[in-house]
Amino acid sequence: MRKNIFKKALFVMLVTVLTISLAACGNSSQNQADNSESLPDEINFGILRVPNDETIAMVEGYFDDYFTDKGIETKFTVFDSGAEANQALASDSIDFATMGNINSVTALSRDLGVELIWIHETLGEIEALAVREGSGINEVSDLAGKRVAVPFASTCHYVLLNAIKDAGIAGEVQLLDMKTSEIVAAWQRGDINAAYTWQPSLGKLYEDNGVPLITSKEMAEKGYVTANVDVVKKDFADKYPELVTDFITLLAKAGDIYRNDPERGAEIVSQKLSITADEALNQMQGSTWHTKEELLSDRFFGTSDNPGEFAKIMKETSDFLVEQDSLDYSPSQEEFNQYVNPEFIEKSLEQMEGK
Amino acid sequence: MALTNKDQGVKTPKNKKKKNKVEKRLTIGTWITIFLAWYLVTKFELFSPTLVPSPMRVWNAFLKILDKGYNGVPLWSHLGASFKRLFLALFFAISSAVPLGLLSGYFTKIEAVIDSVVEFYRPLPPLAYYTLLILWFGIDDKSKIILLFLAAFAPIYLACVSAVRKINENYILSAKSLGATQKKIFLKIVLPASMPEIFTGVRTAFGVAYTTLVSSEMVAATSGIGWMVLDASNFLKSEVIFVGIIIMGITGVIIDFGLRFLEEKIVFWKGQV
Repeated sequence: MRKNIFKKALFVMLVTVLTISLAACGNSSQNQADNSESLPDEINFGILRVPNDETIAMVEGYFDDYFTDKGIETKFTVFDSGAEANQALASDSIDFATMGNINSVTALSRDLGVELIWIHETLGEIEALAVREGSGINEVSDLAGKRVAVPFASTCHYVLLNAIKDAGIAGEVQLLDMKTSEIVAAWQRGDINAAYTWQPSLGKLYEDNGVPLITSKEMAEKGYVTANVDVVKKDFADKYPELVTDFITLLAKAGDIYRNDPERGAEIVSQKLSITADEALNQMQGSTWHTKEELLSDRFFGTSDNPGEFAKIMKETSDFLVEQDSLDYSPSQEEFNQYVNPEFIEKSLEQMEGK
Repeated sequence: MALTNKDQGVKTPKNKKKKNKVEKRLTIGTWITIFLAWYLVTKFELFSPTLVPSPMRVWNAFLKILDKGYNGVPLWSHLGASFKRLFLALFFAISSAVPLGLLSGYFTKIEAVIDSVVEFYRPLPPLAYYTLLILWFGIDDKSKIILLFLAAFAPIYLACVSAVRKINENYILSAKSLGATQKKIFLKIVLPASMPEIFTGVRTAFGVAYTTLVSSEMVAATSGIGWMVLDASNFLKSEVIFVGIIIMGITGVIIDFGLRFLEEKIVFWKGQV
């Protein structure tokens, strides 16, 4: 009996100690932030396995050269989706993250202390709703009562929900939450009637009798723009603004390789993603990569004084997510104007012009 | 009969009463400390609400889910979907693992066939083979129930084997010498004598299946309490995650309590033999 009391007392103590040490953890990370000026020992990047400028920069060793020269170690973690990247950002495990803009809306709404600094690409035919040829599904409204797979909380999910809503069949489609690899398996088994997904899994559906019903390109023309973006922890950006600027410069430089010579760009990413160069090129053509100048135009970031369209798109997306009950809180337009931050692109451009 | 499984053979009923008083207070005290720590941590905003939502936020999220459901599906049907999967799996696991386990314990030849297979798959993490189950059985409830079934089968089977092993051989030999048939020995001696351990096995199996429930709802589900938690994590809705975990914790305790109650009713002789 005494032993048991002892055990429970120990447990209470443990809880108390744990609470205190947790609180201490919170403080220690703040202390780190105060200690500025010097460079960080390492930078952690959250990346997606997609053919984009970041992948080119990695294969070409841009980050290694640049950061290693400064004595900074770079670590890359691959996430299946931006939802996972958000969890890593929340726990302060990474400094930069690539994600779909849907997840970046979540990041602001849930106050993860990040800002959006770059658009890797705007999404077009790389994401599409595939249906089986000859299945009798010829328009979106035919999907009523059918089973459609999509990775939830993704750009595909957002576009699909809007397509269904516009077709007037909201609530009549059975949506199933699957990862991209699971979608391919379920498609091959015939468990699903349609799927909204991205490359490379989309290509596998096309190989197996699939045809696109709608693509994210068509939906973007209707105003449902989606993109893959890069976010950075605000603490990090405040402390090391020049590192963030140079990161943007490196991304743009990698993007130039693809713009100047698409075949070469495809060749480079194909090594990393273990696909053929043709496949890589095909996938890359399904999205649009933008130059710094384009990103600073009204269509996207705008300038520091004059916010562009993208902040409005983000606000619309956020309102939609609240309407869907996916988020509790939609930040104001003003907050989104702050969040979509052109500052580092501007600085990067100035540096280039200065040289 | 007055003894619960927990203090079987260790304490006498007399000091149990005394123990209850002090220990109950300690248990309550522990929970008050946990809630107080939770409240204070959020009160002083040591962490952002995304990392640690306040008790009020969690409570409000619970009320909202109770009122409007999650993802348009009412809470009770999320729970219903999960428990349908869980109990169907447990039903199949009990009805197959108990006979197989008892037979394995009784006939070494049957054990030789089954045991190594169970020992092989038992330590495997369910997620490792779940994709295969989906490929074979599809994305519907079938693959989910089979996953839970596999998780629940092993503990029941192993409990049955060990229960039969522990039976005092003299009982069986005496029955035999008195002319009892194999069938009678099995039904009148082996089965009743194994009951207490079978129950322990079922309770363990329930625990293991319950922990696998969330994994089973990771793929292609749009309902279930485990899916609710996973979907909430996509949008970092930590208050919903808290609600889901608390509901799972409480229902888990309630079901275990129910099983213990059944055990006391059915195996009333336990701890007295």
